[in-house]
Amino acid sequence: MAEVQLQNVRQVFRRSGGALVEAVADVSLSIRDHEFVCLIGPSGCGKTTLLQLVAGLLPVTSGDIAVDGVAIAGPSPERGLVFQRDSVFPWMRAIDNVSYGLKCRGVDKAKRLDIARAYLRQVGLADVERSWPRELSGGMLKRVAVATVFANSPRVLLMDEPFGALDYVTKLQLHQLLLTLWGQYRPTVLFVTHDVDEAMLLADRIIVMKGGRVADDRQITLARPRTVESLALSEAIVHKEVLLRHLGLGALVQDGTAQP
Amino acid sequence: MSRAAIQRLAGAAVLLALAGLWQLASILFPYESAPGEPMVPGWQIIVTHTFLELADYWPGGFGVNAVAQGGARTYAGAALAVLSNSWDTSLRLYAGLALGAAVGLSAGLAVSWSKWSRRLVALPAQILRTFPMMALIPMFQLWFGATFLGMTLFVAFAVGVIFFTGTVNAVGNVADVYVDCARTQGASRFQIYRSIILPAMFPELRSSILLSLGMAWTAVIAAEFLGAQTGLGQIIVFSQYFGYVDRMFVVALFLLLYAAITYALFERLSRRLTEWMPRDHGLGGRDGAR
Amino acid sequence: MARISSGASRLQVDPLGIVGLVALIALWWALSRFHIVSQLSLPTPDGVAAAIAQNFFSSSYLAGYHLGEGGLAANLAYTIVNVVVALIVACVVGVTLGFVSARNDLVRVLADPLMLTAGTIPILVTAPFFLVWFGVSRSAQIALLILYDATIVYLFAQRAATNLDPTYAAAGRTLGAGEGRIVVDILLRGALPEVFGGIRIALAGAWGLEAFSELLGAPKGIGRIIQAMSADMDTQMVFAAIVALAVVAVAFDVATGAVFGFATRWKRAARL
Repeated sequence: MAEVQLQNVRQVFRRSGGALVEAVADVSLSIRDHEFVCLIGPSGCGKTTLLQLVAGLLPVTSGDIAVDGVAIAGPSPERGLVFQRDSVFPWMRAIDNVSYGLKCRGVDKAKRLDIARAYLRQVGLADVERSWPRELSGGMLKRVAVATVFANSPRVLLMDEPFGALDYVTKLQLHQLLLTLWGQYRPTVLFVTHDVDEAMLLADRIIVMKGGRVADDRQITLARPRTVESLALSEAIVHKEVLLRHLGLGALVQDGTAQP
Repeated sequence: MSRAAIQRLAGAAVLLALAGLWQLASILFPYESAPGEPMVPGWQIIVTHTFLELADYWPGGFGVNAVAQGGARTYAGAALAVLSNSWDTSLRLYAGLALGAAVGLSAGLAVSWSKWSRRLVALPAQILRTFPMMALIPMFQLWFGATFLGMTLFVAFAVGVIFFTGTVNAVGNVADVYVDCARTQGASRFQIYRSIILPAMFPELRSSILLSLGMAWTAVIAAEFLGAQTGLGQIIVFSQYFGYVDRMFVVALFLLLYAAITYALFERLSRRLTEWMPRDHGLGGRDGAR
Repeated sequence: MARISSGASRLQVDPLGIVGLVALIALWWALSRFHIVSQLSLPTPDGVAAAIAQNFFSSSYLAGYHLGEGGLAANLAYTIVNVVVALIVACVVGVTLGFVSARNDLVRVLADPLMLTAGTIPILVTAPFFLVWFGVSRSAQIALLILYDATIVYLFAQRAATNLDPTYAAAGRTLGAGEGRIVVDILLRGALPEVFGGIRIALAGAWGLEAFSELLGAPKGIGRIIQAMSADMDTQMVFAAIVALAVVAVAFDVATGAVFGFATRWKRAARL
C-alpha cells in the first residue's frame, strides 16, 4: 500500500582491505503502489545492496529513498524484510518469533499471540506454534519468517532471494503462498532473485541490474494466475530470452532475434 | 549393553587399574620423604591412618581439642578439619566466580555496545588473556594480603578476564542476520541486547564458562598454596613441607570431588538455558535448508 | 560493482587496538606517577622498564638472592626451555595418542578415562606431589607441564581426527591411496588446524603454570625471581619479572600464530 521512490541512489563502501567499492552507482526508480517488482541480475550487480538500502539497514552514500514521499530513516516494520539466510531466532518458539515485532511495539501479550496464531494458521503452521526452530524444516522456517513479516502489517515487502536454499517443490509451494498473501494484504513488493523462472512467475515488472545500474526495466503483463501454459506463450518466451541474455546465458537462446 | 554403559564400565575399570598401579608403585618405590613417611603411600595406609591424621588441622573448638595443644586425634576432629577448610576454600571459589562472572560479563556487554570501544579494547584484552595469571598471585598478596579478600579478588580477576574476552567475542560473533531481522521489526537497541544478543551468545559463552570453572579452581588452589592460613590448598602445601604424601592425596581427592560438583551444578543450570539448541552443535552456518 | 580505489596494504593489527593499549599504559603511568596509587603498590612503567634493562643480562642484585649471575635473561631461559621441552614431549604423546584413539576403539577406551579425568582436575593439585617426588628440581616443573600440555593436546587431536569429514578419506581411497598415505596426506594435514589450535591454547596456559611451579620451588626461573622479590617487597622487580614473562608469552603466541597460520593457510580465515 505504498509507493517507493529512489532518486539517484549511490552506495559506496570500504572493504576490509581498504579498497573502495561502488555497489550501487546511480539508481532512480519509481515503484507503484501494490506493484510486484523483481530485481534480477548477476552476482555482484548490487541488487542485494539496493534492497538493504530500501530496508534502511545501510545508509545511502548519496541520493534519496522515500516511501509515499517520506524519506526513510533506518529500518522499520513498515518495510518488512525476508532474509536470504535463516533469520528465525532459534532460542524462541515459533509463535514467539512471529509475535516478536508486535512485542517490540508494546502490544499486550494476549493480543499479540492471537495475531501471531492467525498468521501461523495462514501459512499452514497452526500446529507447530510451540515448536523450537531446530525442530522445523527449512521450508517451515521460511513460512515462519513470512508469517513474522506479515504479522507486522508491512506496507512494503522486501525479499532477498528468500527461497534460494529450498528444494524445488517447497519453493513452488511458497511461491503460491506468497502470491496469496500479496493478493490479500496488498503490500508493494521488491523481490530480489537470480532465478529467471521465479521472476517470470511472480513479477508485474522485472528490473535488471548490472554493475550497480539499472540495465533494463520490463513490464510483464501476463495474466494471473500464471501457469505452465501462460509461461509458454511467445510473449513470455521473449521476456525470458532477453533476461537470459542479460545474465550472460545467451548460449541457451535458440536464435538471435531477441535482443536486450 | 549400551555404548554409554560400556564406556562407564571401561572408565571405572581404568581408574581401578590406576589405583592398582599406585599400589604397585608404593611397593616398588618404598623411598621415604621423611622418616616414616613413604613417598608413594599404599592404599592400606591411606585408608587406615590418613583421615585420622587430618585432625591435626583442627585449631580447636566445638568441644574438640586441638592436636597441637595435646588433644588426641579423633574422627570428629578430622571431620571438623575437613569441613571447615572445605568451607573456606569453597567460599573463596564461589564468591570469586560470581564476582568475576558478573563484572566480566557486564564490562564485556558494555564495551560491545559501541563498535569503537570494542576495537579499542580488543588488543589489550587479548594480551591480558595470554598473561601468565598464576604469576600475579604474589602481587595480589602484596596488595590485599593473603586473606579471604585477597584470594577471592584474585579468583575474580582470573575469571573476569575470561568472561570479558569471551563476552566481547561472543557478541561479535552473533550472526548479523538475527540483529538485522530484529531491527527491521522495530526493536530498540536495548530490546536487541536483551532478546537477541544475550540468548544468541550463550552457546559460545558456554565454553568460556566451562573454562572459567577450571580457572577458578586453579586460581583458588594456587592462592592457597602461597601463604593462606586456612583452606584445603593450604593443608596440601603444609603437608608437602613434611612429606606427608598420604595427607596430600586425601585432601586432593576432596578437592577433585568439589570440582566435579561444580561442573555438575553448571550442567544442571545450563540445561534449561539451552533447550532450544540443536543437538549437534550451536549456531552459525545455517542457511535455511536442512 | 566498480572498484573505485585500491586499498592500503593490509594491516594485521587494528590501529585502534594499539591506541587502546597505549591508553592503558598511560593510565598506569598516571596512577603511579601522581601517587593516586602508592608507588610501592604500583611502580611506574618507566621504573619497571629501567629495572628490566638494568638486570637483564647480568645482575649482581639478583645474584645476591642466589638467582645466578645471568640476571633476568638466564632465568627466563630456564623458564622458556622448560616450557618448550615439555610442550614438544606432550605434543608427541598427545597427538599420537589422540589420533590413534580416534581410529582405534581399544586405545580410546583405555586412554579416554585417563586423559579426560586428568583434563578436568585442576592440574595444579599435582604440583606439590611432583615437588615431593622430584625434589626442588627441573624435573618437577617439566613433569607438571607435560601432564598439563598432553591432556589438552590429546583432547584437540582426538576431536580433530574424529571431526574430519570421512568423505576426504573415502575420496582418497577411490583415487588409489593406501592406508599410510591416507593417514599422512589426508588425516594428519586435515586435522592440523585444530591440533595447532590446541597447541596454542596449551602454550598460553603453560607460561603461568611454569611460573607458578617455580614459585612453589625451583632452582632458577622467572617464578623464583617473583618469589624472592615479593618476599622482600620489591614490587618494581616483581613487575619487571612479570612483564618480561608476559612479553615472552605474547611473543611466542604471535610467533606460533604466524607459523601455524602459514602452515595451514589453505584454511579459509575466520570471519573478522
